[in-house]
Amino acid sequence: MNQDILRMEGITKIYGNGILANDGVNFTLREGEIHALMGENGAGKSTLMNILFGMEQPTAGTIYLNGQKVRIHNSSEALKMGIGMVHQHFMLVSSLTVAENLILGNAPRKGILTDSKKAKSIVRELSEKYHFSLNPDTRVKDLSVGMKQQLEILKALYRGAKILILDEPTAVLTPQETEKLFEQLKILRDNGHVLIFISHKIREVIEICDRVTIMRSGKSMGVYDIHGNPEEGTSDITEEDISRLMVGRDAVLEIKKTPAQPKEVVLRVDKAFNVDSEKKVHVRNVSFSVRSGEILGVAGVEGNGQAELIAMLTGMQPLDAGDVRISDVSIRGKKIRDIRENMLAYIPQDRLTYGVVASGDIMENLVPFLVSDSRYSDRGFLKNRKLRTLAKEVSKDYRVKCDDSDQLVSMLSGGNMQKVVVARELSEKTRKHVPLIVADQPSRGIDIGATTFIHQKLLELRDQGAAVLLISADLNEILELSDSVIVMYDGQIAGYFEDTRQLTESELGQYMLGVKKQTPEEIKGVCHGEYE
Amino acid sequence: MLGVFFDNVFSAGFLFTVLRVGTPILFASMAALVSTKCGIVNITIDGTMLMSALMGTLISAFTQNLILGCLAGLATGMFMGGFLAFFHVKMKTAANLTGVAINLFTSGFSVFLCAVLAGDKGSTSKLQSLTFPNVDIPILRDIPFLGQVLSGHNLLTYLSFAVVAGVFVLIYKTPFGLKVRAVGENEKAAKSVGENTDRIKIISLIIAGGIASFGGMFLSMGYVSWFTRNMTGARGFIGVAANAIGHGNPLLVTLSSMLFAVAQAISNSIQILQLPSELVMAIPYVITLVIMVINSAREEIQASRRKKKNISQLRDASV
Amino acid sequence: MANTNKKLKSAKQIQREFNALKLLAAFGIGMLIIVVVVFIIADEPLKALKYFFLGPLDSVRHLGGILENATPVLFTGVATCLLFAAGDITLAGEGVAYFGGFIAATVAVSVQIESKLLLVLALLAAGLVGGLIAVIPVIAKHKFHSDSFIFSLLLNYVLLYVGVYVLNYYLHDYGYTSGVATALFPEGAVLTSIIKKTNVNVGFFIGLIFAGLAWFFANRTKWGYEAKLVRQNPGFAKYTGVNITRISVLVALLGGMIAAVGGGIDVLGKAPRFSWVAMPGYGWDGFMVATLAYQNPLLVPLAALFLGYIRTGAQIMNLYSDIPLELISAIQAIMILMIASKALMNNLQQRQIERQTRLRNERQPEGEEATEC
Repeated sequence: MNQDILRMEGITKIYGNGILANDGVNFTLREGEIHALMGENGAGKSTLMNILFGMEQPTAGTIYLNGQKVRIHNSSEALKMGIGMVHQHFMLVSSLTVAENLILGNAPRKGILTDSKKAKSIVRELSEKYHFSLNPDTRVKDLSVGMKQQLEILKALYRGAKILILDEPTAVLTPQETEKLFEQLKILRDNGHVLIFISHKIREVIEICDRVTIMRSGKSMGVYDIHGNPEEGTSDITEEDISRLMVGRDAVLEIKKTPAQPKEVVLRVDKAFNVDSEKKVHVRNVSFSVRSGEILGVAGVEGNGQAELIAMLTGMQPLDAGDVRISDVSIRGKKIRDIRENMLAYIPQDRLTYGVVASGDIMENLVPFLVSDSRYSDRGFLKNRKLRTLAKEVSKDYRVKCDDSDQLVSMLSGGNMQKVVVARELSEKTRKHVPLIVADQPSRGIDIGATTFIHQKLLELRDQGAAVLLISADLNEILELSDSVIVMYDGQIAGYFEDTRQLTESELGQYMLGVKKQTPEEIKGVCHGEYE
Repeated sequence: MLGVFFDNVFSAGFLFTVLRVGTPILFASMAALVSTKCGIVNITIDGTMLMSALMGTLISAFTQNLILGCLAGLATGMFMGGFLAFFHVKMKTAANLTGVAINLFTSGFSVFLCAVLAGDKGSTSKLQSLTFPNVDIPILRDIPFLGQVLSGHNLLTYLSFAVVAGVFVLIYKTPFGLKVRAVGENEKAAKSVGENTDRIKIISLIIAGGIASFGGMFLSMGYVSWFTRNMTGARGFIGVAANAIGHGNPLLVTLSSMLFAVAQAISNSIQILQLPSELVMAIPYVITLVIMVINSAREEIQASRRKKKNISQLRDASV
Repeated sequence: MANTNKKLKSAKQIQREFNALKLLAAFGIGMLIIVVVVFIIADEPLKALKYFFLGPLDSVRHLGGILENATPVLFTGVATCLLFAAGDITLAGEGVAYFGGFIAATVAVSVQIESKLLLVLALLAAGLVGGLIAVIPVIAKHKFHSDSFIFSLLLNYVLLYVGVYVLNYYLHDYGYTSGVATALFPEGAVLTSIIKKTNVNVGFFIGLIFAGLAWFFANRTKWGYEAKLVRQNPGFAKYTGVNITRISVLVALLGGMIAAVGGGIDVLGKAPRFSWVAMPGYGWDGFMVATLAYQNPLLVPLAALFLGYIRTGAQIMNLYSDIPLELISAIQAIMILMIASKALMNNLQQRQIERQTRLRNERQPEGEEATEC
């Protein structure tokens, strides 16, 4: 019988803003295993791992390491206890060499100097032992993403990590790099390391993991052996089981929704591509269209190209290849202001970075599209009183709870802040009429009241003839609002479902997690007969 | 005319002058280098030099002990580094605003102290202050030309070159230097391996202050033997510029410091050369500005080129 | 529920109160240091302090001194508010104030006009050239990604050397023997004094107008609004389609113009000739004054007057006692540092805001029926 080397018991974490991120979670690790931790975005995986790595303190619960009760106050303590973490966003200094990054903060010395010879030989030794291919003298900025990840793993090993947390390690890798990573992870396991593998991709988990803990809405849905144990009478867990456990629907909010009556095509995306300077292809040959009077949902686990797709639609990033047309006008070469003012409303996902000026007041956040409008501005000179009155009116229409229109947005709750964003983008008082609404995770991190309000607004506008593109990793939201759905996986459209009413979340889940994929002919349906 | 120019510029005497006027600039640029390595644009170097120039002179005059004077100057410089660190790192003031304020502070406070302690606002020339000795280097001084250029300098001129070597070793060869570079480039990365990044910044700024202090003391205890108000003549800023042009590389920073020194030396010997000294003085700044623009523009162009290449490859593949 | 009737403060109010509190604390500590230092070193401390605090107010000449000292920093202070309005940090104010003085002087001694039109022309030329120069570091930043702070610092020296070169080689009046200077300014170029026994001219009042205009620009125009978006959240500015480069260039242009006009007014109002061979330091002072005023152009005149007051006080104290005038710069710097300290009283302020928010939430429970504005 394998021995538990780590037990986390009854871990509960409540954040300052009242969000319950972990709710009595149990988590155990055995000697010599690769343990998958799965769950949707916001299921509480990161919180649990941050607690294990000492970056956050649990509100309740205990951690036992090798049977001993421990408290982990910060990352250096975690490292000292033999727990290492490979972050999804690498913590590397790009102008330093591989060897320098490795020994940072824990350098071998020769007198007062760094023993760089020894540093290099450590890189070589470790590389050889774990079949890595790192050259100690290469600068990190010249490394490929896969090599950078190897270096991160090596950093943890060099600091004596026995337990290694890998936060979505394959999200940034090409398929070839993923293959290689898996070989290396197996070698690590055979060398006595215990790995925690956080992932959304079921196939990968089944390929290399021994057990899986599945989380949903802050709770653990249980631990399962990937490969059944005949002695205990268990059988292999299936892909379907995992996706069912991961993406179940919780409390369903009933919103009255009439069937859509789609009319002419408003948005057409035609063979769009997005590449970065590191050669990673984020969006690959994506085509679809959205009609007036319908909501098209874009489902998918975050990081499958949705963010880049939206950035291209809204002009925030250049369109690398392909075309995007809104009401038959191409956005190619158009300025962002032109697109945003005349073509589409856009509710961004990252509220604080793009959605609001937090240090500005409510009025200032409502009027960016009005300052050139002759009703509110006389050749650039603002009619301040009119703007204030308008801001009050709009805040009332959109039920923004505040003291006054000069209240700072940073002091609003998340839900009210989002209502300000939605008001600015959707109210006919704050902007010109536009045919298309792009809503990117419009209800992320906000309370139920605000969510319902925003959902109702979107439906209302749909019924008035707007075309709505709704991007969300939250299946509740997708299934509740969308008339049809496309699923994005790995930068491509993996499936198209014309009618969401017959669609179950578990089926959708299988497409989101890369278990199933439709044929190009089936997917083509979303183009509504365009681009033959 | 051109002949006269070259005769002068390639004379031993001229090169000797370059090293001499280059000394304070070199100290300042090394202080700037250490500061930028940990990610802080430090314009207080000028003020730090001024305070050290004053305190070194005053204490050497009062104690008639060069070593005590030197230690006082050094301590003053380190204190100024700590002053900046306290406000910027601990009180979270913006580095550039803090720099402006501290320079304002030193330009006033140095004159104030000078007046109160030396009895004269303008200078300390009434006091019997000490200077660092000039050093003849045996053997070297007998080598023709080279001896004339390299021997007989002030002790601090030699120290300035030792500081360049020392800074190089500190930044590139010691564990502390590694941390400094990591903090300056990616503070999160340094934090993720458990480093106290605030402490690293504070220590770096104190070291930078110490280095700058020698630049100040060279002016009042070597170049001349008294302190005058605002005697740095913006050499601290020139050091910051030299560091910017040299992109934080000790060798390049040394060379660009010398570029500024050459310009100053030429403008000093203006009578012979009949060149407009002001324009000569402006040249290094103009060069720096041009290089700054070219450097940053080049990086941009390369990245966009790489991306274009990727896109065209992708198109080819998908067709 | 005793405190239910008390009106709750908004976060904006609390911030404003704490800013004022910091200002008062800085002011108090600054004055305290002066008093302590004077008591330590002065032979007759009470007399010295009387000169310092009351001297500026005791005669028309001294009151005029306050205005004279305040005028150039009023211009550069307002200019700094604009230069920083779109989030770029530049020191162009210093070089441009110098160059504005230089250009104004050059026009004054080289253009042959016999009326006050010459004055207007000189200031317009200064403003135009200064504005264009201040734009350079901003373009370097937005087009070439250079650091605008270092860039402007270096550019200032280029300006200085070019100015000194032209002064030495082309404008120098060889009939003038006590230094390098231009010829006497013609009558038409001089800003004449409007109060007897002082050098006070209309400069300060022009500065007041600029302060008002700058406030209006920042708070009541589309461009000021967009500059604020760029400064406070460039991501939001990009997302709503603000042309970031254009707005940044615009504020630099306006800021540069004001700083340069300030330099011109200073030169044409003070000296019979132009003789600057070093930077006047007005840009640095402007930086200080703008910080004291929390970058609000309407508060800049007050900050400038405060600076003018303590400088005049220090000048008088310097004249009649043994306290050097330069003490003031040191005190001023310490006050600035205190005001700029984000950490100073931050915890207190945060706690206050949180407390008020909590109270508000208790009074207005979450839910659909809660008060809306």
